[in-house]
Amino acid sequence: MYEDSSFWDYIRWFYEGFVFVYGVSMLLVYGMLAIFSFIAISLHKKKSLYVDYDKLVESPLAPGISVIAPAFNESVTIITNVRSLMTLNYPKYEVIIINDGSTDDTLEKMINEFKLVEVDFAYNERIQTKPVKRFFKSTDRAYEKLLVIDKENGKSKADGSNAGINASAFDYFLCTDVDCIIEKDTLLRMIKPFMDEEAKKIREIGEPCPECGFRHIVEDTRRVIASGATLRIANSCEVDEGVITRVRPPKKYLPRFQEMEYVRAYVLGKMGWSFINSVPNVSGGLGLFDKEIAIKAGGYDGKSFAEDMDMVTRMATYMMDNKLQYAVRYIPTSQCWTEGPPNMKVFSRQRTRWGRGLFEVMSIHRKVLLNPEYGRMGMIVFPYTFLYEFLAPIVEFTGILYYLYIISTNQINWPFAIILIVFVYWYAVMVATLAILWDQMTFRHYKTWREVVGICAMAFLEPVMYHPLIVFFAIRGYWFFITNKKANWGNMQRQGFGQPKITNANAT
Amino acid sequence: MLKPTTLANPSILLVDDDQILLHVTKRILQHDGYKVTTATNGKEALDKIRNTQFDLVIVDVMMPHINGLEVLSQLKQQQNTRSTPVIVLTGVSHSISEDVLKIGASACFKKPFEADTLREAVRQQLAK
Amino acid sequence: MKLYFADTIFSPIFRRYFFYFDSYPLVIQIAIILTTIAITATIIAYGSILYRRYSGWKRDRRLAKLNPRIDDLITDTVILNEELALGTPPEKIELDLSGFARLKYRDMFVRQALIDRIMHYRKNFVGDLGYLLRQLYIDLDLEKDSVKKLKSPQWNKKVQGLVELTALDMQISDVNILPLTNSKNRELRAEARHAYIKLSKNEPFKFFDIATEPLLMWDQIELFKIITTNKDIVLPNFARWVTYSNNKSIVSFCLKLIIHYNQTEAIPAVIKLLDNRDHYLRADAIQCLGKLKVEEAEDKLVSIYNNQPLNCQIEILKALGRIGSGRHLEFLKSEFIRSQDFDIRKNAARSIIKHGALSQNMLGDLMSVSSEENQLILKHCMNPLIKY
Repeated sequence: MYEDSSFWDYIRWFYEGFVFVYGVSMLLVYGMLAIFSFIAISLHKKKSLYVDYDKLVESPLAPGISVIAPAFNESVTIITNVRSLMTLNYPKYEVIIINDGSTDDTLEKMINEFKLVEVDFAYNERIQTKPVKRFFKSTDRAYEKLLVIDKENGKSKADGSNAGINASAFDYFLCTDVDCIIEKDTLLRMIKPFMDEEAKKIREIGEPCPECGFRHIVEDTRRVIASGATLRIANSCEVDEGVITRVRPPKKYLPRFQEMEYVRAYVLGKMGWSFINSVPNVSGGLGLFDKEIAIKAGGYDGKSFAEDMDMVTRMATYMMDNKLQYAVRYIPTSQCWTEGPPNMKVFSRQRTRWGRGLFEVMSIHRKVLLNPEYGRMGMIVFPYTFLYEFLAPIVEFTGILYYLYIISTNQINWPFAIILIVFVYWYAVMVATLAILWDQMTFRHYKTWREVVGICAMAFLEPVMYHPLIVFFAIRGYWFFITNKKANWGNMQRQGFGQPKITNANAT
Repeated sequence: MLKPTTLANPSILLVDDDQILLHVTKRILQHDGYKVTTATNGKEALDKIRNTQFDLVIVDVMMPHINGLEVLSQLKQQQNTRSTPVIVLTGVSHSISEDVLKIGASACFKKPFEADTLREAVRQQLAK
Repeated sequence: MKLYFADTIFSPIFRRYFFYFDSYPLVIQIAIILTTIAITATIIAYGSILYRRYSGWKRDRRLAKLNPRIDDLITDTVILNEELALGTPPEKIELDLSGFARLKYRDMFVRQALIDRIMHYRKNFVGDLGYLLRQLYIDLDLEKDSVKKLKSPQWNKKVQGLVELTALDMQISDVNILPLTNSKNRELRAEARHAYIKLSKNEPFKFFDIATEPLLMWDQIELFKIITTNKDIVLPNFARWVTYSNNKSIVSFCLKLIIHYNQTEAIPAVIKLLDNRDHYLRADAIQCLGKLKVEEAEDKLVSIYNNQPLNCQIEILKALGRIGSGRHLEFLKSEFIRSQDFDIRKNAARSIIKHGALSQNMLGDLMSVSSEENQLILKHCMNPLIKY
């Protein structure tokens, strides 16, 4: 079987070569991100020495923002959370709560607490959603900012958000979850990147038309289409009336791993990408968007498993298709605390959904990948996401199988294998530790040393305890996407929406 | 300059989440001979109002938990506090003062304000 | 294969501990070197976290002790100043600084805390108290610190210095500030311009003539605040820049100032702007005419309406509502009935309603003949609970 073995040798040589190049380039990318994010954070920190957000609070020129939060069966927490949304520090904004066909008394509670009455509301359905039934405004002027929409359940957060976008009055909208806890200064800080670009204007290009004397006009501004901020896990934080009073890393292991993961993904990852204007995604938990572009790009896709990434991608491709310059920005400060899945069951659902969503976005937008017409979107964002986010679980999984194979056939060089494993392990630890350091640079989160050590320890445990889970769930998500594409739509969507409650999870 | 009031120590509730402003305004008003109680947010303020009758309430608009507008509108809806004059402080420059007066505030000041203007307003409201 | 830099820099160390380092494959050599780097970086990161947290904690503790003392001192010397209470004009008051001497205010940390605190107080109080706070800042020699920051090589320190000096209305000599307005750093340049406008006594708006780069929205917010809160500033006729400036962001900013100051003398220049090619500028101009309630512009607005892009059309409808002369109610009505666009109908309806008594009858008619959706729009706009 000489022929056969040379074929296998060839495959093996190719595989090992690919994995080597892949691994090294991935480490390089992470190293680069760490450096970029460091520069971006230092710059942000320098500016925060003198930027006075109060000036914006006092200004009549502040642009209006619509805060949009869909709610589904949030009866227990709805009142405090709506209250906390209505006390954000910003001069001109409205709060739109979409009651997405709740089966409990979420709506009734709001009606009683905020003295709501039904109003005739001229609703412009620019993005199609499930039917919207009623609109409520408060008779109490103190709640003037509040608009409540009662709508049929659309089985997804996206559908609810879209209804909110349709009803919103202002040019920018902040998308969040009703159970996310948002810092008071969030709107001020998140609108700033939009204001750091030039105001809208046009430029005339080419020679005047010989008949009418007019010249062709193009938009001449780089427009910020979205901005995001760091999210953290709220699980063990002390909360009073919808305001975080004491930040604490989660006590349980699973959420604490997530906290570390979030810190790394936002503070190190997103900030690094933001520095070179290549942010791949603005999280669904907290994102501020340019409404005009979001609507033109079609809003959220109610059927998508990764509606946030899908919409940002569509907004970006819309800009590129129309030859418009755009930017997506991230700020390093933590503005939003969200409830992370507390147990393995909910967690596995969330991550499987993410994996599935990623596969979906990759396949829907495959035309962008390595397409120079899409600029950095096609040449940086997508190749990165494809190689190091999408392929990573697959490569790792096959890698483990391969390892097992060479161990079982006794072909392994143990000393070298151990050196390589130690190397990859420490590199991962380093990246995570740097992320924690960058985060501490932004703000001294947590109160005691124990808490900081607690979160740092996660960096050491993560590669062996947490990471394998993520790989497994991602691959499960891919598998679901490939096998029962259609069959599972509709009943999978509730996951990841809002607070992943146990009851909620059991329903699916 | 204003002299300390001649009324027998009227009580004032001062609500603001800015510690400095709270501290300073309290000192100024105490110096003028008022009995000053402070609260740092709307919830605390409403709790205190429930237990004590104040002659005047000074409240900031932007606060966590329950904002100044809400405190104002709750005060104006309850029988026993409806007649209590309320002075509203605001950092926002535009349009809000009309809204505030519509809900029933006696006066509205935009920060930054002159200490004397506030003292004068306090004196006027309490004289009524 | 040899790795040269490893050979020259690292391998003496490695050779001591890894006897066969040179004989390892390249991949393993790289891995060993990078592992060492990773471990070192991790340790440094820990050290850095430790250091940051410790020094931050110390700082906070110190501030927590210091600030109440500063507060009491400021309250006693400035806020409850007895001479001020007795009616002495603030210019003649000598502040008693004995309390501050006990603060050890020669210490840089204490001085910065004092500056921050005084600035915060000044943000909340104007008038005599504001004047005395500024006096305190000068008497404590804190001005020197701020000026020193201007000379710092770090741009963010320079900006901080500028912010402090402008917040306390200090004079900055042109020699100090003009070079900064040409700085390569955008943030510094912008802040220097703001400071110049606020503090320059002769020609605060000069830079409107020369600025070629755009004013960002954030700059506009800051400038707007500086200009509108400065009582001493001599207002020019902003029409000058509306007519002559090539810098679109300056034109648009001047339009906002014209609205704020209700500068009716600028109206002809604004009307001329309606012929501008930039539809964003045109929209700003239309908005300006509406907010100034320029009745004589109405006919022109209606006549250009059909050639405008959507954003300008909407602004025209809004403007007609703001002006509210009633002469173009029929036009608004026909737009409301005829248009396919939702926003146009909504704005037309709102503008009709804004006419108040003038449009009472028309509204009744419209209500009875309109389609269901149009009726909804009318109800929406008439409902006092809905603001937008």
